Amino acid sequence: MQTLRKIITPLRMFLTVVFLPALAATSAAQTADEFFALGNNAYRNGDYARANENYENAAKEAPPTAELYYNLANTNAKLGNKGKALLNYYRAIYQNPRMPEAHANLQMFAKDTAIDLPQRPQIYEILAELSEYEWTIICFAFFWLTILLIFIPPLYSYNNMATVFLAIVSGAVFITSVIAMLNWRDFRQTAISVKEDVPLRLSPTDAAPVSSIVGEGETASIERKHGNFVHVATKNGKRGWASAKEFVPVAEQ
Amino acid sequence: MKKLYASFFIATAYVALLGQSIETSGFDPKEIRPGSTSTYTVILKDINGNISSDDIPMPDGLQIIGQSRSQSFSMGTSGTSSSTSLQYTVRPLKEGIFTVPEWSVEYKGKTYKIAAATLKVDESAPAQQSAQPMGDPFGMRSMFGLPSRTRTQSAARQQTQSFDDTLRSSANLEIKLPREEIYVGESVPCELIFSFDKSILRNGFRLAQLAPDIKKADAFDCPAFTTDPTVDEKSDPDKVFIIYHTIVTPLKVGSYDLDFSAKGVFNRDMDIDDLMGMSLIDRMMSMGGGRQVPFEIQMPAKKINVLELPADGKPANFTGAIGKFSLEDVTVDPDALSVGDPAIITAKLVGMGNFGRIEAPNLDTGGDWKSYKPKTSFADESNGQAYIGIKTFEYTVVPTKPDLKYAPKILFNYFDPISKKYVELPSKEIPVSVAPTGRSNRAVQKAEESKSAEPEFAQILDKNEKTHEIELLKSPLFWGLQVAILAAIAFFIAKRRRKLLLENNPAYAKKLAYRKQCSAYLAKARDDASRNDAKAFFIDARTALQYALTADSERESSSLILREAREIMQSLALEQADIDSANVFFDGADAITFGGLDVSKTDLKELDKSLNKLCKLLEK
Repeated sequence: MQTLRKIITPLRMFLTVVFLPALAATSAAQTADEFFALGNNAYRNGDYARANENYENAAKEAPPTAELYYNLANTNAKLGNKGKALLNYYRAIYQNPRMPEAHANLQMFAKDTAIDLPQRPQIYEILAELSEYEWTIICFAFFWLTILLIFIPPLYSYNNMATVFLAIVSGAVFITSVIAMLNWRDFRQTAISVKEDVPLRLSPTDAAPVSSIVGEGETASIERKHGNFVHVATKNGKRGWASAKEFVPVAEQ
Repeated sequence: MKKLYASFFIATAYVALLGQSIETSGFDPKEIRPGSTSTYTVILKDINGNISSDDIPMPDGLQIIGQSRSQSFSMGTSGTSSSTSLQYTVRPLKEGIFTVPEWSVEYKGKTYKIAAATLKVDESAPAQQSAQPMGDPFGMRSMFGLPSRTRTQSAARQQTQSFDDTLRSSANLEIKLPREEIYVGESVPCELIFSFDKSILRNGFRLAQLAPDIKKADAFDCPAFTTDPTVDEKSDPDKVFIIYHTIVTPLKVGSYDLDFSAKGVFNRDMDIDDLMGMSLIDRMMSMGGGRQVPFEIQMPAKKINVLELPADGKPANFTGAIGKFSLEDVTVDPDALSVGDPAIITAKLVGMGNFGRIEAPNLDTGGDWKSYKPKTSFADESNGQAYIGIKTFEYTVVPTKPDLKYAPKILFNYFDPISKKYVELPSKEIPVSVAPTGRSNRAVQKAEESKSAEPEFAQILDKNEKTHEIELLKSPLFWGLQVAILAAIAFFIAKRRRKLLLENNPAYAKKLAYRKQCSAYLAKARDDASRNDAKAFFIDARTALQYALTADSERESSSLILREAREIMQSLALEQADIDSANVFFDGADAITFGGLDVSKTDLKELDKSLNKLCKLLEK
């Protein structure tokens, strides 16, 4: 018994020394989920500024999720940050296009704040039912399937109409998925102005002359990038360089 | 005893207070030649302070070009006293007699009067001589091999003078303007370039301070220099350029000199020569500090022709805007109202030019609208230069008639100095609806709409579901998988095609089989050669050659004889030497059996090489 105690006591001390700091370190840092929960509590208590701060912290801790973007958008809508609210609804939809809450609130918010959302053909709306990630997988899967259907059956002398038909169908799905991916790429290349009177400049520097200004919440497509500047074109035909902090792309860098 | 101490301290403090004074020892020397310098000294007794050179009423024609400070302490029966000597190096700009009048300075609520001092600047003045020897009456410094203080101080002064001369000769201040002729009231961006020789930096000096300034402020307005100048050390191998950006606005019509100056300080760490030229106290005071050389540089005056704005084509309601502008985002809020209800017209002016001098443009009310003085605000986008930005005008207007279709237009105009023409830029017509009285139907409808569309964003999501996007196309793993799939498919297809060829093409199958056999017999022959088994080597070599020669034909390999082999090789256009080399492989085995070949003289390894070469030629 004495011998057993002699072994256990130093072992216990060793385990305490090794694992206690680790446990303390774990409890000291807040995780993205904790910040998310804190944000939700603050939101329910009507403290939108605090909720926004917690959601922002959650976004810093881990790659933001569609749910986080959605809650962040609601918070900004409550705080009256038109541009940021719109941007985060778009980001939530980009992450998870089948999130009905984000679509509903985006429509409602656009109506309340008199924002004209870009109208796209119905086919693009249908293609946007799947996310870019899902379309990418489909695209590559059907690309390889098409390749196999074209090259493998002749090697086994299966040159019948069924394989030809399957190859055509597979190729059509592949082409559709490419179109859907391009559609998402365009969406990703969208930028939202997040402050009032964003200056559009003639060149990508802070000292460049201002060619025109854009109001908060306006949507533009990104034509090219240079450092921290993006060259944008609005639907009203305004073009120019804007700071990426003021005209924020939907897809985070 | 306590009373005695107290009395002593009070008496000491009183004496010290009485001893406080500020005086001047005037100019030294009092008479100098033009271009020389003199030193104006102010002595602060028992006061530890400083006097800015701007506080000294220097007469016109005398310029302070440098300042230094030294302090000395003395201990006596009445206690410790200190004396701070502030020395201002002055340079005359012209000949004459210059008098600094009696002046006063306030220090800690007390006013000190400083006596007048006079400096005569004349060509006939004696040449400047070095200072009188002092501080080493017994020659102690020279006794210990130290340079005399007078000599070192003089050397230090000479070094400063020499540095000043170097700086004066190498430093330059110039202004770059986009045009020589500019219009009155126009804001012109320009660059003020201070340059100096890199040799100054090589001598250990560094530019510690630089403050550009504009003279002739009555003819030009120059609001601010950029706080963060551009330093260019690369464009010239010998010069350093420090470029300040500023805006110059001429205030008067005519031809005026644009005159900039810059004050600054060069600094470097103390060296032994500097320390030798100082008193012990100065040395202690200067511990950890550096040697400072202040300077002031004047730009050669630049003549600017300031033009009046052309009268031809000038609009009656000219706003004073000169530059390039556009009127953006003109809005009316509300756009549905009743007679007597106010509306706000907001217009945003963007571009570059003299934003500070633009008056609010007039409204074209047509007598149907009552308007009030507009509010203006400006958002600068040019780092405080007020040259690029957004100027917002807010007009309050009230309709005086019903059924007005458009809000008043804003009649903005500006002068373009490049095209030298006035540009009229009225705002677009903005439709409005003006009801006769009370609230308009549209306003009511809008209010109802906004009421029904009260935002309801109470629903938030409780769970963070981890549905974040992974960018597949940027993932190396994803692309690695694609390459693996491609390789697998290519491998599979290649293998399948080979199998089909073997099944469907006997000639191809035979060719492959014979080549395989040829390789096997070549390996055997190499093995035989290494074992020096000549007979086995020649048998295996012949078999390998038979397989290689009949791989592309319908013949069986074992029945191939030498003559046929030579015919095949000739048909393949092989060289005669290669053809002849086959003889030994076909005849070798039989020759050994029947004693026709002396094996001991045969180098099997060489023959193996020759065999391999021949087989490779046949494969090709």
